[in-house]
Amino acid sequence: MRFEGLTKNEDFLKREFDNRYFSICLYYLSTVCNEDDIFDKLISPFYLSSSSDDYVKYLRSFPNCSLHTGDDEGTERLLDGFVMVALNGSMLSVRMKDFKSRSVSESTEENVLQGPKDGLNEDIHTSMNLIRNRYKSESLRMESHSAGSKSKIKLMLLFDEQLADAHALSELKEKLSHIHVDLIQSAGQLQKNLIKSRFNLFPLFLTTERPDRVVKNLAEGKIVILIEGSSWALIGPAAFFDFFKSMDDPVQMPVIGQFMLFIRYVALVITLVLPALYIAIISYSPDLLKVQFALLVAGSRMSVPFPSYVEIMFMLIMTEFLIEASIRLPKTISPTATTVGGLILGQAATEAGLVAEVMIIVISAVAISNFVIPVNSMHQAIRVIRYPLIILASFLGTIGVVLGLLALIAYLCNLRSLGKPYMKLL
Amino acid sequence: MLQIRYYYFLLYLNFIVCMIEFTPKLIYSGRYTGSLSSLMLALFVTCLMIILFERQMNRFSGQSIAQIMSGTLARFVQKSLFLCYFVLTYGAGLIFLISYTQIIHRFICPDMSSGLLFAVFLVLVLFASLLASKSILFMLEIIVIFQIPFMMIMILLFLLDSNIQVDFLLEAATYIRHWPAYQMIAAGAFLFNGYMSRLVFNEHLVSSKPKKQLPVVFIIGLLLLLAYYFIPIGYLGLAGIDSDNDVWFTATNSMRLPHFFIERYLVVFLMIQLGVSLMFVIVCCHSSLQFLKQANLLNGGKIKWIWVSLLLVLSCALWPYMGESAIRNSFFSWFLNVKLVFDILMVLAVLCCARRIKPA
Repeated sequence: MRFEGLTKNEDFLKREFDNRYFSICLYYLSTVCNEDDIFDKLISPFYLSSSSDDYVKYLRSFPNCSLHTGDDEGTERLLDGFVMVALNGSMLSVRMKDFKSRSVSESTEENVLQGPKDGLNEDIHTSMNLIRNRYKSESLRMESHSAGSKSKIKLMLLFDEQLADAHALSELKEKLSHIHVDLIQSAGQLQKNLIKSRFNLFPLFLTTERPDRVVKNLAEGKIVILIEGSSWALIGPAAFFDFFKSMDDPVQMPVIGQFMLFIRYVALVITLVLPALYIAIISYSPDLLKVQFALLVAGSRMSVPFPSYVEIMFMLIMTEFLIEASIRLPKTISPTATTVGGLILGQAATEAGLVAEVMIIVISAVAISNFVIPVNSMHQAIRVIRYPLIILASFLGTIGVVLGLLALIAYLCNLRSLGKPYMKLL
Repeated sequence: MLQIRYYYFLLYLNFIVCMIEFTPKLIYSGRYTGSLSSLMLALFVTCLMIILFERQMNRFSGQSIAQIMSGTLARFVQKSLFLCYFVLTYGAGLIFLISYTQIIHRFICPDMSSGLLFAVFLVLVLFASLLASKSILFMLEIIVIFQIPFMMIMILLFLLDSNIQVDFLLEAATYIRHWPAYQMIAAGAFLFNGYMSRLVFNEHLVSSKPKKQLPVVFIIGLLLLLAYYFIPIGYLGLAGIDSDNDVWFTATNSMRLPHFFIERYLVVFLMIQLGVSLMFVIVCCHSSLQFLKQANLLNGGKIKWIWVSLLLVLSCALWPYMGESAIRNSFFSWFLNVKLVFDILMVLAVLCCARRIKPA
């Protein structure tokens, strides 16, 4: 019996057929193959052909047809949606894969005002189709790899041969060959395995679900990894500043695009520094502010019984709860949660005198400006990096903020994405 | 290889940091004699030096200083030169760090112990100086580009300030007719001393075009020099500037931002200068470690940590002795003279190496 490892599965089928001239035996997994296709393309022609040579010639006309001798390779092919056809002692494989996925749909996480709406697909061929149709260059290369010893997910490396950096490419390939994990199911997991360092906070690869972004990056010489079963692609080497570009920027007039970009960096500074600066100014050096402003803040903090860092930590963590809850909750409940959390908690806390009104403004500004960062993985990183800054500010005041920022810049400057500097201007 | 702009950032950083500490005291002591003319002369001299130095260094694009010297100088001479530079750059970093810690302690957080501040700064500086040279350059670029707008705001505030006594400025300008003095020229030259950092970073930089860049360097240098000399005089007066130790901080303390939620410009200036000064100290520390590496004394992970802890202990041990600004000032003027000699030695050595490869 062939394919010992698979015979215990109920979806493993071995079917034998015989016409007047010769006989064949088909092996396949019914769950990954399309049985209608098998009937139309393999079984019906079998009854019409008069010699085994003709039938082999017919099978050879399939794009993915190949001849096999070893069982191991055959098993791998069976798992990948191929049908093994045994005739005259030889074994041919023909692709009859049936990949259940949605049709091309709108990208939901990266919205743009103008510009194309379609998103990448779980089916790698559909994604490639979307990309190929937008990037009609003969130098576009596609190379397939696989990752995960159990999941054996197919990866597709896309790059423009003339533009892509050879060092980055070889480094990526080497990293891919060194991934030894059982399961890889998403772009995020793959990225984690490519980065290795456990304490790395910042995404070193851009994740996107937009084919137009993929194409834009291909044209800039980046390397794209498509992952079977995930509608997200990884793009590398990525720089820190890439995470602040939106696909809306090229659509807008140049000045407006630049302005939008500028706004995002302002938002970055606000969301990163404002909570820490609030603590530093309130608790350490209120003399920095203008007198009227300092009095206003002090007045609004009159009834607050806690030091400023307790106040800000409390509200920040509440905001984190709110964000976390509104992602996980069913769509029907999440508006209620936001109302209760945002309006009632904020209002009640200030009325009870637990937090200052100015603080509520600070926290809202921080939360809103965090959402301005267009790429999700970056805004998660910024969300986390705020807390060390807050701790530094609570111990060292404004000096702590400056020191924290310097350390952050040093850390970012020392990162490399596929050998390319992560934080380099221009 | 990185573009040459990083080299000019090094020049700028050196100027910005040195202009607020140590040099003002020295320069303003000669304000009734030749300090202004010395500064102008120093600008010309350093421009010439920069051109000469860059021309020699351009022949060795992509080479480290040890590679440049190998074959021309004996290994022993090289090693001792690198060791001297290790001490010099580390000393420069340390003295600036201590001085800036005292300033921060005095102006921003008098209620915090200055020892704690020094310790925190030192840890950050030492860890950051262990980064790769390229990372240091990227960091430098971000910090400098972040600082430039604040420098412009400062100059703008000065120009628009109605409280400035123009008479003082005119009076100060009349002293340009005096002869320059050596000590002042040395101090002025120290402001533009950043070009020596190229010794460390040369292996990562492409060749420069010294003649093409010269007008830009000269004009920016002149602008900065004028700002450096006249802004404190405009605020404090030619006579009033004498008794002050931290001329720049008292001058910026007079600057107001009436329509901003922070009113005193000093606060903004101090924060930005803190970042820039720490960056300068990081570059110094990194340079000193790189000189050790060039002298083949920093191989392997273990030895690196031994050196770093040695530096840490040494800095902490020297900290109590450098607390007084008078001691720092006298140490600095001694340091200035030694540094100038070594810089000339180094430039001559590079010149020697360049001549040797010329026929080939």
